[in-house]
Amino acid sequence: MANSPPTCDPAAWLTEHGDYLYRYALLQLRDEAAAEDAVQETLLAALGAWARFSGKSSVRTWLTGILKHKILDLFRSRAKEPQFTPASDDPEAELALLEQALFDATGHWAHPPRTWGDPESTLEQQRFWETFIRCLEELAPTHARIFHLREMEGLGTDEICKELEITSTNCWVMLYRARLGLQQCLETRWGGQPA
Amino acid sequence: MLSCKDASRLASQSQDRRLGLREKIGLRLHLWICDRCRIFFQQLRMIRHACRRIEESEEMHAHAAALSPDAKARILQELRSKQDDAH
Repeated sequence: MANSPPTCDPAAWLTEHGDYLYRYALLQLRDEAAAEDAVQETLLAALGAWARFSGKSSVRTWLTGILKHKILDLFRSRAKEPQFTPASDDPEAELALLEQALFDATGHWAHPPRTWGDPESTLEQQRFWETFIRCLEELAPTHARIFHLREMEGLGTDEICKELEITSTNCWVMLYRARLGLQQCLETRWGGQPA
Repeated sequence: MLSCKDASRLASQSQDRRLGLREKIGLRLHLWICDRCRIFFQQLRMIRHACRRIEESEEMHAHAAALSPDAKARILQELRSKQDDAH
């Protein structure tokens, strides 16, 4: 596949990359209909932009890049919808509740974190990825969105604050909350695995 | 001296902003003496690393969710009609 020059064949894009793009969109959007729409818009945009495809990256990488923009646009337009505004007006108070469960009164870990083994070999394991994706799926939508913008899109917290209209302190608190959620989920489902 | 609770917060923030000198020294000192927070810090790094690699992970290919045949047919139709328009 890498040897032949890519051709403009949208039907083949759908067959070869449609499911991948759909899963990627679903992971971020949590909504099957929205994910289907995002894939459709991505492929339509790709068809229009084909002339500008340099062929330097793979078709899949190129399509994924377009999809990321579509997802970001959707996040922007969703920012005002009630189900995506923070569950709590006070992320700090919400975090304090979680901290009460994780740390004892003196601020020590109630359940010490366990090592997850060598990072490189862990990331080679199919089971780790299954677990990781399941844990991502379990994040609350507000946390999932901010975490996605920071870690998958690589946006700076300044940009995220502007995008979501929150203070930088709330942004750091919500990112910490998301990371703790993932860490706890992985700790339960992955931690203690033989390295 | 920072508690584990404070150190974990700072460990997370160190991924999002440049820590102040006092914060940086406090976190380093704490990580130096505390195995538990050192492990937590490694876990945070691993989470970040995994996020960077998620696109290429095999799991994205193997995960159960897939476009429904209906959705595929609909998208294909949209693509065809856009292609026809262009011609």
